[in-house]
Amino acid sequence: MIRVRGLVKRFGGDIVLDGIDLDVPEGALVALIGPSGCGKSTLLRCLNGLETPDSGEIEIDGERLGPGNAARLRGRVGMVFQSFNLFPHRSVLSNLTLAPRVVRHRSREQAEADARLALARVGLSGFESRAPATLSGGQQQRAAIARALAMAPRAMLYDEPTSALDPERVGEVLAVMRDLDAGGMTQVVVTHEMRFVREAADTVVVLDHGRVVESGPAAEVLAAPRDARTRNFLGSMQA
Amino acid sequence: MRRLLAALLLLASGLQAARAGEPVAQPTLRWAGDARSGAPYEFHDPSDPSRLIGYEVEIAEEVARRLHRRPEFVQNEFDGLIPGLQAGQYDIAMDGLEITPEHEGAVAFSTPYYTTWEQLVVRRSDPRDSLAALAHGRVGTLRGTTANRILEAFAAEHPGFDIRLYDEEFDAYTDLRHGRLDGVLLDAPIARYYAGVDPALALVGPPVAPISYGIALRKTDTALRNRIDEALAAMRDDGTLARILARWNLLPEGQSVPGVAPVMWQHWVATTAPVSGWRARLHRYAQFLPMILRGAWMTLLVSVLGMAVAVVVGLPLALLRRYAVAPFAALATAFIELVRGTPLLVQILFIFYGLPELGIQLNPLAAGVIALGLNYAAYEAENYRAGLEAVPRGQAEAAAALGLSPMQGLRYVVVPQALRTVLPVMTNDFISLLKDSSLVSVITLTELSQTYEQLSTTYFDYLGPGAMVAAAYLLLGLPFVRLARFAERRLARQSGIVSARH
Repeated sequence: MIRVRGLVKRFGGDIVLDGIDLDVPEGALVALIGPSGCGKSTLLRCLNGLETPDSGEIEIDGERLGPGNAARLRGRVGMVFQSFNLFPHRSVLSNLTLAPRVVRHRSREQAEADARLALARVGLSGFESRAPATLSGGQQQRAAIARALAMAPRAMLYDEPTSALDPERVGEVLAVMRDLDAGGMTQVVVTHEMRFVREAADTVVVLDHGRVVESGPAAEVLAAPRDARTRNFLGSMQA
Repeated sequence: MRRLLAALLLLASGLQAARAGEPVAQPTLRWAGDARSGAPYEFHDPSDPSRLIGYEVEIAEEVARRLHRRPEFVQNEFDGLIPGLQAGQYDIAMDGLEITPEHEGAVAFSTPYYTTWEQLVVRRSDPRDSLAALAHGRVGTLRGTTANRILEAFAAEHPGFDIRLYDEEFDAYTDLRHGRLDGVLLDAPIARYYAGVDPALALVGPPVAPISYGIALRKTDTALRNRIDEALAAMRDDGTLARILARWNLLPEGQSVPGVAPVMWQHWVATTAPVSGWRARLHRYAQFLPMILRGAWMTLLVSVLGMAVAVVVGLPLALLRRYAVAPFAALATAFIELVRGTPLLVQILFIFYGLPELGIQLNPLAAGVIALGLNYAAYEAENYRAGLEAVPRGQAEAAAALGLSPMQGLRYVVVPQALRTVLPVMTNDFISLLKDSSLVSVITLTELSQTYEQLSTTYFDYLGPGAMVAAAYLLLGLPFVRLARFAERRLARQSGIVSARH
């Protein structure tokens, strides 16, 4: 579904991604973990075209990502941000219908019907006309997931989706992601929620200094890390 | 934004339709003068300030009638009469414009319609009754007149002589009365109308210098000049001109027209006598109301249209500056700096008088709206910029992540949010624009402050009309003050919620 080869990204003189290879099979839930500054968020942003890599290639659904098709491929890959980034001047429903109507030229009726389905999927039926600012953090993040789902993406990317939430709100967001996983959605998540990673992720990819230091089934990597850097990182997460 | 533009266009077309609806059986003869304190030339009738009277009004109307054209008066400042003529704002100018070599360098003149002289006025109690006797004194006159040049020549030979220059004749005679001047040298009709009715002042000495008034035209309008000369000659021959002058008591000493009384002079003397008693004063102020309402309407019209231009032009300026490639961004920045770094008054004069030389001719309303609009557009662009910067970067990213193009992201996500933060500031700006709109009075628009000048110089009363005009400005601004407060409160409430949740 997503295939990355030899991805390199520099910011100024700093190498942030230093030759990343990554394969995300269809329907998988892949967790990207690693110490802060390891490049995991940048990798995610490259997958969505928000950052342009300096070299290497990214293939989404068999199509190579380039300047010509970035906007089109973005529609196929949903992105969820740490700070939700809902549009505060629009109702929840209109947050969901904007992109389908503007980018896909859907009719209002069609877009709204799709949006209601997406809201139902994240448990926010009845919140259509609410202003984003009146929702709790967990509700806002679920609305943001629904907004991405309204574009009917082939894959979803999450950049630390629960870091800005109060602890008691984390579960409802993770539940939505589990539910999507059960429905066969391909998902890549950058997260520090180790319990979620252990329970829900198929594959864990550990990054450090812009390189993949270890990857494999979540249970194996978390239970018996082979790389010293992974052990260090996991140790620091438990502390 | 598109709706706003559409509304603007609709309004503009409505204005044009209104103009087109007027009966235009005859072509117009647009003639300009300065009707502020302009007795007996052209001025507002003190008993009915909405009526324009004066012996030149009667001459202009008679000339227009004989040319089969409809006279249309255009108010302009005395100093601006010749520039406005050159800029093509009207066909002719009349305001006691002396036929002098200096003036003839710039414009053409008809044959003289009136010949008079410069008249010295002193305090009645003062024995010095000639310019020579005032060689060590202080004499006032109007700026840019023949009297001004005569006094300068006199001062060159008399080192102790002091000249004071005024914009309003009334102010000069007031200073003479109060002892700030020893004499005033001005055209004899002015002296008769402003000093001759004051027992404390005396018209003294022989005529200082002869002067002739002519109708000023553009040098290229030879055909019009010939026809006006023919009309004036006919008016001289059939006695029309003499009858007009007789009505205004402006015939040379010893001459009269049988059967014609100086009724307009008598009207002037009667109506300018100081009113006494609050009842008479209130009655007079009540008569000002229609003029003040008309002025307020013009102020509001210019301000609203100007602000609409500013709001519409300011946004692309801000967007160019923030997002466009270097040359366009630099152009927008240059425009903003140019506008913010030069006085609004200069911009207004440039657009109204300067652009016609480049072939861009604008009527006063359009020129005023464009000048105010472009000026405020520069400030609104800065407001928009602050508003755009206040929208978190994540908003544009979220739009991009959903597949929106950068333009779509701006249009649907970033700009609408920027507008919300900018609205209260803009409302406040509108209130300052309302006040700055007084500057368009220099390009012949009779708005509130111009109305104030007309009323106060007609009645020699700055207090009552001043209070009325001030009240009109306050009433115009009040709804917008409230709107700004409302918008500020709403914004504070919104951002309050957002920050509480984050």
